[in-house]
Amino acid sequence: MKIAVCLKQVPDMESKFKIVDGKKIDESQIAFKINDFDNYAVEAALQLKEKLGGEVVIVTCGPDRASKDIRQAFAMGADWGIHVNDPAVESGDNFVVASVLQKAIETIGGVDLVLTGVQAEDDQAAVTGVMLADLMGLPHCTNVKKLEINGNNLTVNRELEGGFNEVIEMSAPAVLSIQSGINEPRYPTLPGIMKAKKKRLDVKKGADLGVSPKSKTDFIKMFFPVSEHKAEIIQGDPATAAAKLIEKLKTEAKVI
Amino acid sequence: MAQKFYSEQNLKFTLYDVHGIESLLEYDYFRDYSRESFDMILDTAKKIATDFMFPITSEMDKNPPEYTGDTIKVHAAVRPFMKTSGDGGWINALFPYEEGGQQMPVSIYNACQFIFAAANYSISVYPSLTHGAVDLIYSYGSEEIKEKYATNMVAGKWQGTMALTEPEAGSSLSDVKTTAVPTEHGYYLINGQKTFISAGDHDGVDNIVHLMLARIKGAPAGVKGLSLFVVPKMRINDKGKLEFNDVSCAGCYHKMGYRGAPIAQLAMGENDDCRGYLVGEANRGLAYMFQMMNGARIHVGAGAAGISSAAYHAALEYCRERLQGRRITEKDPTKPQIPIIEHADVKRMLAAQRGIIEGSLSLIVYAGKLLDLTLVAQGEEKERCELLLDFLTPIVKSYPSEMGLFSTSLAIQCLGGYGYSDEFPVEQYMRDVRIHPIHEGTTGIQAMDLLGRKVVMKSGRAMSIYLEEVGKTVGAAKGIAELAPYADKLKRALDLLGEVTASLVGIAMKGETDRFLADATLYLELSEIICVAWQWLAQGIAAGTALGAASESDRDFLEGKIYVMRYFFEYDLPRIEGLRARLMNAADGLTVSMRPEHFTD
Repeated sequence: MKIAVCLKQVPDMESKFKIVDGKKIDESQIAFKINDFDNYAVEAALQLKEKLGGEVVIVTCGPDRASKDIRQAFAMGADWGIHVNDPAVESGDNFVVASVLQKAIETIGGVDLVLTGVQAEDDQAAVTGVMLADLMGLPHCTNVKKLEINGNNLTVNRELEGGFNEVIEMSAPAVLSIQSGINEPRYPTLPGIMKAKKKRLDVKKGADLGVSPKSKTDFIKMFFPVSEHKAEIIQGDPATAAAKLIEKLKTEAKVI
Repeated sequence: MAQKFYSEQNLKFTLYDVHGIESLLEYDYFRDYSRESFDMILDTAKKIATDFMFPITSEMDKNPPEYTGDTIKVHAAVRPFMKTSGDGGWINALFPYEEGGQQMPVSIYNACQFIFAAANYSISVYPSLTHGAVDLIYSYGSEEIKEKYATNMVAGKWQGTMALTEPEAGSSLSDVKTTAVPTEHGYYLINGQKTFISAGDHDGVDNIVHLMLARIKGAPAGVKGLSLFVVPKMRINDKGKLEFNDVSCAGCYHKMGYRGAPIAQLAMGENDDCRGYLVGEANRGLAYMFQMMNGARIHVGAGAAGISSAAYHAALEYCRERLQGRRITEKDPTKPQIPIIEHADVKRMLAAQRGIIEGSLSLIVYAGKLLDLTLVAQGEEKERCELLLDFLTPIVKSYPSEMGLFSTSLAIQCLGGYGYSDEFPVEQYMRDVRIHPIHEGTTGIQAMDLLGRKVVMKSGRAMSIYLEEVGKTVGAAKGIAELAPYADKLKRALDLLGEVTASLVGIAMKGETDRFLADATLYLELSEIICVAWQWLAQGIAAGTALGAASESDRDFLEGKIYVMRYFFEYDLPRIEGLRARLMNAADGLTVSMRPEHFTD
């Protein structure tokens, strides 16, 4: 079984975040790592490979620094990867990324299953996997908590709100976005790290894949939401203070 | 609750900017590594530490091991952690490829051990003790022992231990009484008792393999009659099955801290059926043990620095959030309170902790690099590294250990009453770190090793090399305007060290060995402060260099670094004057002349 896993490198959420010019994060203080949800996707793919044979291919859009985390997935056991390293793609939205991933996965050929994390920890959009399925014309299922494969038939549990699961049957090839908790991702091993260095990683630009999609959305700005802590102590004797409070609740807060 | 237990930025700064660990890549032995693989290893260590180890630190403290009558029940995470360590290649990481290892540089391995100790010292020792035991087997054991025992140990299935201490033989190993009687079958029959054996028995593995010191019947008294044996709890019989080897667990101690790992009492040969397999040559046991000792003692330093780091980060988080008081100059009580990190005395306590932790870490990384160089360098450079490492080892072991207690105490002080309660993690760290001045050779033993052996060895050659190396850093710092005053301070400290050393050696020359060594611990302390000041100057040089091209946020880190360097020189280094005052008077033999009766009441 040939499985492509889409992997995104994200900031470690313990990092200090500083916004520059309302446009981007100052990366000098940021440690980057594999998007946690994608780790589950890599593990799910590796378990399928161990059971059914085949290969696991990592596909990533990201700048130079992303290669470190593609190799972390190699160190876990993935076989090879495609790294789309292109500033034009980097500045695009989820649609651009999904379009590029689609073309990159096409170049692998014969992919039976595409796995993504359910969402990225940083932008939390949870749309790339779905867009990818649509662009590839494949069935998809989100929030996958359990996955069984019998030939081309997939039985997947999809997590719903309130702790419910629904069970869906579908057939490969398909795109699945993997929810955390489906498995326990393995740690990269030290021998795996040494082997990772030698594994094949194809670096491509959007043009190499014959794709130059335009964003469907416009990015306006980035900011920390201002939290307002407003408290006023009403002075005076109890009767006066109570009267003032009622007045304020009526005219200012407009709640009575 | 605190989530951070070490500074990744500082660790990488220490490895790459201060000590240039990448220079090891020039040696063929490390050819397969790269900066990227070093970073991946550090990332993986961080991940294991963060996801697996750190969340159960308090739990392991609150649910310590229990003696069941025949073994010791430990936390359920020990078994999967040993498996993770075995599968991940951590137990055999330092061994050469031909032994199935990864040839990892010790400097990187120790950096990982620092991360692991910061996350959860107790659980970190199970695989690292196993590593130490396997190291002895690989170095001196027969092929048969390697295959039968080491294979399962590196896989994390079996625990390895170092079984030296006995009820009557702790610091004084020459008094080891456990006996080994040769048999016609090739093995020895072992009889005796061992105590304080870390991970000496537990249910987190399927077997325990002790690397044990014992005296072969008829061997000379003292340390020259000690031999090294593999003594498994379960031996492999002729049919390849495990059978009990008459090593009984007689109990475990309840400890002040470091509670997640048991220390066991063992009885060997109660039924005259405990087989021991000789490792290497007879009567060379202690020499073999000591070959591993430099590494083990640096490892203790890394453990102590790691625990102190975790306490510091918990304190730092608290100091940033805790609002108490106003600026001394602010007289208006209706103004909001400020975070306590704004108070100068709190900043002093935080800087003091960093001085200890980052100074220790720098020394640990440097010692690791020396250990790496002893493996790959040739000729004179190799000998230089060996002597320098020998000289530094008691310092690398003792400074983080002794000062760790002070550092974790300061962390508690930052939290005030909360720090003294078990609602916050810092009280545990102070208890956990207390083991380090004791195990792998107490501070007193390290002190005698430094003054009685290392200072005078090879006519003072090791010390000369050390002074040359410090001198190089002083020379480099002199050329940098901002650092020149600190270079001068360190130079004066070296002169003071020379003066004190000459005075003490003078006492030794008169044959008054007891007076020469009576205050060795103070001499060790004096040496430690100067040695760590040296490491701070080296960090100051690296920080100054990096500042030129630094981003705004890196500037905070690097400027903070230079502040802590200055702090160490201004607050810690002057302590050597007091130590000098006493040590220059050591000839009076004050404690030597005291009789036990003077402590009657």
